[in-house]
Amino acid sequence: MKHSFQSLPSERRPRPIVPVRFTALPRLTLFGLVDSGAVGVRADWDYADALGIDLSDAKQVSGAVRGINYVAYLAEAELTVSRSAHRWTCEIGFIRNFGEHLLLGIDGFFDQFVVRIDAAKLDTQVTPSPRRAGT
Amino acid sequence: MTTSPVMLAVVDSDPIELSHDAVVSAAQSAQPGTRSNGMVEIEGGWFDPLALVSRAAGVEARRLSFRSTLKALHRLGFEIADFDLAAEATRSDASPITEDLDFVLTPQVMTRLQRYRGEWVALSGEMIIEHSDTLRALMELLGERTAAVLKVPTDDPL
Repeated sequence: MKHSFQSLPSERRPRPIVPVRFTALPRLTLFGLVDSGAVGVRADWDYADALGIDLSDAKQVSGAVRGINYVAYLAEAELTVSRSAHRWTCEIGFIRNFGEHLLLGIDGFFDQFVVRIDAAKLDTQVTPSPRRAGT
Repeated sequence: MTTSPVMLAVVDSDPIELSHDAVVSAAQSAQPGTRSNGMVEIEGGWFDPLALVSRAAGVEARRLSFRSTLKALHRLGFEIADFDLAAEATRSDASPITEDLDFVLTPQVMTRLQRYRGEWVALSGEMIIEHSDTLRALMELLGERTAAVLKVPTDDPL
């Protein structure tokens, strides 16, 4: 599926955005920022709260976004690309006061989809990978 | 605009007919609210479009698309607060319900979002339909409605 670049409040120029949903929150469509510089999928802590995920004993990893260090608490959740039947489960790093949109990084997104970004046309095409992780 | 009935998209069902008179009749037995984005004016009062059309059409509000409902009301000649439907004029009112999943972050929406820095915001089409400090609270406000959600950053864009 192709998805048009979108401007976001955090960005000065349009970015590759893929609309995704947590399967457990089917009424909410999220702005997934395709980010090959992110090691995995990263999301605001509030999503874990809304999903009812207990992160008190979750494995923690550290990282940085835009030069700001963070600690991500890892938990698995199932996602789907909006208007697609494709679902996948991946490890997501939930971060307190993240201040960013849902980041779709290497582990959990790029290892699930073949991603083609055409910045000249301002669109992003994602196709489920035949070699996706976990299959 | 027309006062002839229009077709209205319904989730998991065929489109249904919606008439001007049915909407006015529904408004007469509903409690008006205050004017805000996306509210529809009926005889001087402002009403929640989904609740009103749900009553008028006899369909659960959760099975109605916010954007398609506004388009149908617009075509029936009603005024809708702060929503420019000119770009929608060529589309069918009964077009697929999935269109509401599209992200429409126009420059106008981006400007309006600046008012909500640090908050969670729910969008339907180009409309900001709810906002709150937490996602959980936003979900409570949304109830059965579908929406695109995001947290508006507190920082200036990079």
